[in-house]
Amino acid sequence: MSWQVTKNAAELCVLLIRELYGQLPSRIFEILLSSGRSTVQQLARISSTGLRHVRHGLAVLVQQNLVYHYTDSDTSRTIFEANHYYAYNIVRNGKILDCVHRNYGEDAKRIVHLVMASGHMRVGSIVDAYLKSHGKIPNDVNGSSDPSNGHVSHDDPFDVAAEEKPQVSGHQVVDDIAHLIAIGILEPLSPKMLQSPEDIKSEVDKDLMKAYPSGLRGKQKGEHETRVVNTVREIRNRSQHLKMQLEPTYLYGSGAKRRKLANGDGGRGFSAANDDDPIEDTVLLRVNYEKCLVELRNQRLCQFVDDHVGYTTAQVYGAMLAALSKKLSCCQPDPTDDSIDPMNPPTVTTIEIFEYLKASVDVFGGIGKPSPEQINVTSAEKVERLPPSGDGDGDEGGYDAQNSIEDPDNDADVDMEAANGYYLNGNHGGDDGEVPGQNGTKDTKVTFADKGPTKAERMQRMRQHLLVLAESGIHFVRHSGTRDQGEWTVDFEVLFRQLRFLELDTIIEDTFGREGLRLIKILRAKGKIDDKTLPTMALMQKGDVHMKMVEMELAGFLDVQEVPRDNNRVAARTLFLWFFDEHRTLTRTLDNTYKAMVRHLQRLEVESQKKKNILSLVERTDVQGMEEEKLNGDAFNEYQQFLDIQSRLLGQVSKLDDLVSVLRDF
Amino acid sequence: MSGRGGRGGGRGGRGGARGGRGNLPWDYDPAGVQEQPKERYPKTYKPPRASNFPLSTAEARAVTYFVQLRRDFHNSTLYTHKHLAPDAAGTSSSLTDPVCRAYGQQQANARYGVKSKATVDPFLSVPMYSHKFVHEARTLPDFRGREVHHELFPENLWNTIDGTDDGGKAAAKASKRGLKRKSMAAGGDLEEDDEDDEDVVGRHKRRGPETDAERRRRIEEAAQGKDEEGENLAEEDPEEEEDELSQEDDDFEEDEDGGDYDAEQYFDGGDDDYGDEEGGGESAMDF
Repeated sequence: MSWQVTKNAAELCVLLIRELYGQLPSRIFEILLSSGRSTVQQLARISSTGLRHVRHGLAVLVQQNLVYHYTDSDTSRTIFEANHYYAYNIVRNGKILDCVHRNYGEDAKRIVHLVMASGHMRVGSIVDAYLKSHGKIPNDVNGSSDPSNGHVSHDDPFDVAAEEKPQVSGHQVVDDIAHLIAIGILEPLSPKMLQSPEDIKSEVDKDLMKAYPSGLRGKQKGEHETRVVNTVREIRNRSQHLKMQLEPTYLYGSGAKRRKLANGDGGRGFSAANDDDPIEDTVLLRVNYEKCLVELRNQRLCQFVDDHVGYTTAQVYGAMLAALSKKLSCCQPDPTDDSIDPMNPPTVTTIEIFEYLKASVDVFGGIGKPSPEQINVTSAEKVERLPPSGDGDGDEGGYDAQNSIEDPDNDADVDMEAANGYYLNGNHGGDDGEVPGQNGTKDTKVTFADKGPTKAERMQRMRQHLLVLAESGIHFVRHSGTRDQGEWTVDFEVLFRQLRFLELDTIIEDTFGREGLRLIKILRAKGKIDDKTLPTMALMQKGDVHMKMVEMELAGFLDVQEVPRDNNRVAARTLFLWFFDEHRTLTRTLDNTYKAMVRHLQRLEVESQKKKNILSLVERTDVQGMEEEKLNGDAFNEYQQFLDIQSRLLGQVSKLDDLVSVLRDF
Repeated sequence: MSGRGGRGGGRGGRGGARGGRGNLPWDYDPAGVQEQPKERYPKTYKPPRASNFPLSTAEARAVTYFVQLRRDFHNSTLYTHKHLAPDAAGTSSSLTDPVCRAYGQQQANARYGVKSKATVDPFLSVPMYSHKFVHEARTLPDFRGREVHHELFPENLWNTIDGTDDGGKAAAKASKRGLKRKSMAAGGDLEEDDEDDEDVVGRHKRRGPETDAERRRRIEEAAQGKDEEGENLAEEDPEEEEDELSQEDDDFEEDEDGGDYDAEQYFDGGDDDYGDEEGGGESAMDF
């Protein structure tokens, strides 16, 4: 959650705000970013605009959650601070809406759209606005008219016909909202949440210090620290209260299950709908980007699996992640929070995953059918109770020994083979029925042809997919236990470390070719290497190696360290150690990506300037929404051209954001 | 440097002492790198073309949703329009050069046009039928008629979100009538001594830090209606009751100054402004 705001990142945030919310808030935000915390008067002085302008700009920013503000109770002076985290997330709005649409249905997407458009909203006014806009076909500006987007409506399972739905009542909308809160996509907003974390902390600190009028000494210091941390967490968790309250009904109840399977497709009417409204009208809501990021991460991981393993496996993985993300509230858990144990991440069982698996997924495809003797059941069913240590990418040797040592079930036998044998036996005891099922693929096929697969068979096949994922070199899934036909978990940190490298590798390969990538991979595996040994290790010509290395050094991917062998620092008697600094490369790549995004947005501005006349025509209220009928041929074609350019530019920005997400946020 | 290098090599007994400048890692062979500008892009630069990577269904949908969201916000009253000053410095070249180079805040501000009588296009400002379909270009967001939640905003923005932020015109008027008022409020921080803020800030200062309960009560009051607040305000400054009262009444009328035709206001508007750019345009910007 915390990242540096570089110059390019600041520029990007400002451009995003300008694109969506207009020029005045963006100007104020720019100054807030460049000059830090300020009061209204300071802002007016720095920006040399009127106080009235500053206040109006700030009001919009507060409305959209883009600034923190804090009023000192003693001096009643108000300080504003830019919230770059929210500002950057503007770029993800489209993706989040798409994700919500896909996972929770059209209605949920409309609700999130409403909340997003107005920053924060009361439950009552969401319902009103929803009912008012319902029935009207949603503003399908581009979807239907843009040729590049034309296919959207065809292969969209949920876009079929919005009009066919029966009339929606306020109850149902509230139900949908409650569901979204239970998931965590919407969160109740309290004034405290508009204060920056530092302000909250210092306020708590000040409050608690009143108990020690004579100051802290000795042991009290530590006590005080923990009390401050606990109080701050308590304040933060206060907004979780409503979520907890709604969770049993909407996530774990029977209604939730039915809804999940129906995928928001008219699957309305669960028990809660008959009761009183589960939330009060006056509760304020806003979009919780942290949870949205979890959803986006799931989507991204599915894509990765799709690329690496296959489509069906990706679907199974998607179901697994959906089941798992119920237990996750953010991508990168707070390290100071001791309620989360990094060694014991939340797990899901096979049965839970199966509930999330869509009925349309054909789990019988996607895996080859090797003969039984080709499968090593021992290693396939291997259980890893502890997360892999995150030091290297892909060396398997360490984990097993470590796991078996710390395994409480193991009878003090640290021998690796014995440990594996133990697991094997344990599995045989519990799942006698499934091991033959795994090997006897022929039987399964026959039953499939005859009478269709039973639920148990489907579950077994799904399990095979998960095992395939667990076995792959990238740690997509960890088989962490045997309860309920297997427990599964994902070590996101380890996984994303690898995926980050994958992304970096792609960039390096594109820029410096295969040789460059090979050299960097060697450096990454071996650490710092002398430039004399490098050519032999890389099996390359000395000159070529030097050329490539210098090229990469100039681009900032590598660096060299000089170690003189004696006192007079002579070049000939100096070791030159090449090394690859992961952290620096990451920040550098990120900054370059921000820059690219900035350029795309600037380009978009130029393009819209070029087509200013046609755009001002399109903005007219009588033309909006029915461009095709109202505009004449030439004008419409020109408008189409603009839409094409716009979708390309915005599409590229969102692709770049995918990269940023992987490198920074997930 | 090279001499010493040779000596060092000799002392070490190594044959073929290469000078200081031999096969060193930074000895970058320029043959491989284009130093001079060339007609074409360097070979290493292969920009991927957008047409080779069409958007996937999900991406296209995401873009569509973003555009929808943008349009919805642009149609709301909080949006402030982007380009208002076609002739302002910086925008004329922006077609070819999107990066506006503005030196100093003045120039940066000049890019955003002023909406005043001076900048009106005489050919288009005549009321036309089609104008009813066109959104008026806004320089300030309009909070009137919106549901706002006072508890989320700091107090000095409450006037703004209530739609009664008049840019300190009323306060300035008051100060012209009686200078004593100003001197009284200026007792506190100099920075806070700014036009209209003195209302709010000054009042609370006199009262001292308030408790939570008080704050909550005030929030409720503000939510209930502004009339009460107006009365409170008047009560607290008994000596200026007359002034305040008439002023507040003015403020809360729908059409506070009779537009361009308010003869009394006509020349008043210009001299109390904070920055030049608002000068004279003040009344045109109130809507």
